[in-house]
Amino acid sequence: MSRSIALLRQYLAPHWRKATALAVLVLLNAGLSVAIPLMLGRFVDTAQTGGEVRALLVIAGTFIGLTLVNQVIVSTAAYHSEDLGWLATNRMRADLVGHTLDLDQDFHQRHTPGELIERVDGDVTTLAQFFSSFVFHVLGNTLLAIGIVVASFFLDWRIGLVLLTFGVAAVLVLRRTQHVAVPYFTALRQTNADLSGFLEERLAATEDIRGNGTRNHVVGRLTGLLDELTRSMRRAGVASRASSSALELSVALATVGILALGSVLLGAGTMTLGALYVGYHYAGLLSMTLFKISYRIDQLQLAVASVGRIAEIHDRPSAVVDGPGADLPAGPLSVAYRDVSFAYTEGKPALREVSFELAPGETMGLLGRTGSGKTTVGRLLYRGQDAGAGQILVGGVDVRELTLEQLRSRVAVVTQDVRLFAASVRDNLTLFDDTVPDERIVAAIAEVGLAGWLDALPEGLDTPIGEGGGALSAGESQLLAFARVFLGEPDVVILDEASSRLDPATERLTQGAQQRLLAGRTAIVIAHHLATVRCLDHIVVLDDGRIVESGRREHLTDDPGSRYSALLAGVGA
Amino acid sequence: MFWEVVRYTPGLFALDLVLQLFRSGIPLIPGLIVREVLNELSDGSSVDGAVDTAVWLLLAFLVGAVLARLTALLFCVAVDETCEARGQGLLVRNGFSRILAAPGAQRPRHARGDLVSRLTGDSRSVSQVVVYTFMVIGAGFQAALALVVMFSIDPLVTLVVCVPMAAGGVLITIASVRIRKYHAQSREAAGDVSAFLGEMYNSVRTIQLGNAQSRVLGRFRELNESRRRRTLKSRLFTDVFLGSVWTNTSTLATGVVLVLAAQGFGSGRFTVGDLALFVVYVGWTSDFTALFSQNLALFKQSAASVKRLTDAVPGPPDELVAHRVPDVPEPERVALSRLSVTGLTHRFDGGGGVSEVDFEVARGEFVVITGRVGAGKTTLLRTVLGLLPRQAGTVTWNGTEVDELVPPLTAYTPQLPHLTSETVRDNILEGLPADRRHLDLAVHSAVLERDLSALDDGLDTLLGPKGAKLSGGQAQRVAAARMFARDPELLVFDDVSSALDVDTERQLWERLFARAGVTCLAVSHRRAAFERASRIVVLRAGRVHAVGTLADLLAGDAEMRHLWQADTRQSAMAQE
Repeated sequence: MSRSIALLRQYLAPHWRKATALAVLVLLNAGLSVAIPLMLGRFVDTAQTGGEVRALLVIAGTFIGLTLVNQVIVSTAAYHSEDLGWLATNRMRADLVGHTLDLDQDFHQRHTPGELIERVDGDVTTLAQFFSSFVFHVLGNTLLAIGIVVASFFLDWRIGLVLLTFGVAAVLVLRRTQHVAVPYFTALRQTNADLSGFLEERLAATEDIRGNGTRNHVVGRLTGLLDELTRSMRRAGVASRASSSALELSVALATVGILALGSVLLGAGTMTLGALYVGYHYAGLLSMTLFKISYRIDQLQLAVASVGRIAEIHDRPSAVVDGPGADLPAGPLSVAYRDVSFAYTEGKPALREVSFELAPGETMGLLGRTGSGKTTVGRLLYRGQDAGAGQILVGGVDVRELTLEQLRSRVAVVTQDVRLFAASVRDNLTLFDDTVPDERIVAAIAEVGLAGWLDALPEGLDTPIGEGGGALSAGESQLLAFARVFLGEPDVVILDEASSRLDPATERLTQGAQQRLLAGRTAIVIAHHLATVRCLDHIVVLDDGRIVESGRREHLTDDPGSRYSALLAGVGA
Repeated sequence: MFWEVVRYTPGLFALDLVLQLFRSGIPLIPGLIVREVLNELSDGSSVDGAVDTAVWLLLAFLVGAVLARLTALLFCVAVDETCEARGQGLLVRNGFSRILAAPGAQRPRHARGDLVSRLTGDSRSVSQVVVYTFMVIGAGFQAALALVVMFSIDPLVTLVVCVPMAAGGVLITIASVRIRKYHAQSREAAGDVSAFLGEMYNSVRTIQLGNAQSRVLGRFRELNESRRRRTLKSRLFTDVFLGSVWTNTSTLATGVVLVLAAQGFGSGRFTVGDLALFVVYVGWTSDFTALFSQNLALFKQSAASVKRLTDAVPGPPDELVAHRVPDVPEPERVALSRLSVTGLTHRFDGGGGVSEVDFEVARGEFVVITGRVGAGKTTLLRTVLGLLPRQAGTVTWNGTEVDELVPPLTAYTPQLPHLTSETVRDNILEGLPADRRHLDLAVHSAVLERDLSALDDGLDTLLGPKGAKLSGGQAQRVAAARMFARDPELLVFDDVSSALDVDTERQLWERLFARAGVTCLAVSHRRAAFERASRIVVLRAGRVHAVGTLADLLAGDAEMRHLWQADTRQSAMAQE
């Protein structure tokens, strides 16, 4: 709860003007809602004492006028409280997104995109509803409820007493009955989930069902589930009316109380008919108000749970943080690994004392079976994660000395897992950087051999490409990923080579672009095709996280006992 | 369609209608009582200090009326929910049966998640609208009754009061088009935000390596801002505009009553009790206007739901509301002497399939269908069984043509069986009577006993979503046990040993052939199967390339030799 209030304060503070205006409107609304029924009382009393028609018309006019003003206030307040909720929580969303985007790979491997969306958007939206409804509905209605009771005391202390008693009783009844329906709703949700699950599984298994003649059985099971659904819905429906029914009954009792009181006092001449009428009207208004409060207060619990989950992400530090920053020499950079070890989980090392050196502009092929640690070697270089022991140097500087931006503006990675956004070609290539001139983008596209493809696009660079690269072939996506790297002009390239999912023609195309990409750059190529490796300077073979062979490629080729030459000979491929 | 939903449970809906009338009629009574009490009190000049017993009686009535109303309400809700669930159930059951009636291996037109949401969600909204209409009828009855009462008290005031309410109703109906449009826009903007978040979190590495965090964040801010603006616009219309119209029509009407009453009070034509009654009744009547226009909107939405349902479910739309779904008759057991397949063809639209396939299976034979990847082996089995439509050709059982082969004639283990999340036992039995000996035999034949003893609860182990507790090979053998449990004349299985280790595979074949008089039709590419086959049908590009015994084919057919060699390499790798 204190965390919620801290968040509330942090994100509402910049909008204090709006918040204050809103508070004033809410106050005005409560005041008018209390005052308007008083007009009806005045009207009745004036009529009762034989007042002039003119006076009655004035009261009627005031009633209409105040009602309209109040409506304007309610509408304005509703609109602005919604706006305030969105303004405040949009900032919170942006802060959370910014934070999660800076978090390390380990975090992103543990949390699925679906889960993060639920936190950043789902939980924050719950919070937004809480902001707007709590501020507006709960506070406003509480004010109104207090106002009604106070006003009724001014009207006639005995009516005030009846309404106060009713109010307290109603709150107790509501608190009691409010949760009656919860278990029934949980059961209903479960039944619905069971039904969906049943249908989903059976629709997947139509071949099994038909091939084994179990249709009747399956439809029979479905009928059983539907019967259960009927029972659940009936129970939940009735239970959900428990609260409002109990409230309705207590309103009736309050009405009876006020009318009975009135009939005694009116006879004795100590109360006016108008006051009685207002009391009667207030009883209904008060019950409505209390019902709204109790309904909204439930959201509070949801909001608190959301805040807890949001805070968890908000407070999670990144395992990979900026170094102090250092100068890197211009041009191609050297790369050196010195006794680098790393484990994703303790006791299961993924890399063991890996060492190698590449002079500026040299290229290296990394070979080894799946799980031998090839990808990890690359990941440590761009600081997707940090090495557990040992040192990684780029241009003679420890990667942890550099800021992440410095490092990543010089080191680029291309993998076969190409991610595209539902955005224009331009935005996909520059990653939303508006400052990159079109000529450079066009040049990069030409460099990877997609000039013809670009010419065929209806809106050129502005052509939208779909989510996950809808209209693009696997090969085209791969080439666009290369184009992204060309635009970045990196000095070190890590290439996790595309495997066999490309057709031979496209593969030849990507091979060409790949060669141009590596020219004049220091590169580590995680290779699947021996064809690529044939143009590289060094070869390193990994097995179980350890370097089992390394050397200049031509030396290994000439050594008939080497693993590399065995690979070339096609054994164990 | 809506009417058919009502006709499915006519008694229930009739009861609902009666209860709706009660539920709506009774709330009018307290208004009348309060009017009487106030009138009684306002000319209290005749009474001095003592309270009229009539007033006490009326107050007792008031409590009674509220209790009656609550009883009617709760009963009515119970019946409403029952009606809704029955209506939904009818559509779900029929829709699902229709889908099951289509050939079992034919790919449905819609993704599974989509189908499920149509079957559950759209049928609910159709059924909801029916129940909602009944509620509107009740509310209409209530409004009419209220108007009659008001008219009898003061015709002029009643007529004048109707004007703002009618105007409000018209306004709401007109605005609803706009409201839906803005609502759709705000939903779309919300969808954009989620979609972008999804892409973003799927591309975190790309973004980090491109140093693009701040730019991506900027983009996210823009989308968020657009959502805020659109949601506000939508809210402006729903909450602010609609809310205003709604409250204002009833308060304006009250104001009108006051203005008109001002004259009536002087002449004694209009009393305080009348005023109280009018204020309450005007509220009830304007509720009806709102409910009515809401129902109109719902009706339009449910028309879309009907379309989504009929689109997703094969067969004529009126079958979706058929009141009875007869059981599918089970064929009689006819001992197999010969299964003949002649000229069988099923071609896919995009290419592939099988054409003009002929072969036979005689009692006691083991016929193996083989061929390279994509040769049409699975398609052939499916078409023989009737799981895919036969575009040409026939399948005969002892000379009699059969459309669909099911137990007790055949049972089938697909290549990728789909088990359910229930227990192993339920998966094997799937509705068969639970005879222990029978079940044990099926488990034995499928070489499952060792796997079962390794599971926590043996046969009673819950498999979980997508059979998560089992390996691929185990799932295949549970499906095989399901086939054996049906004890069919002809066993049909697709590549059942592909995910098995060498030992288990050997046992599976041994136990299979230990069954007395077993007849099998199987897709396989395993040597163990070839060696036991009475006959091998080699498929190539959807046509029968060669038929014969293993020895004949190895001697005379290069394709068969290739397939035989291919399996050597695979087993060598598996053993490594």
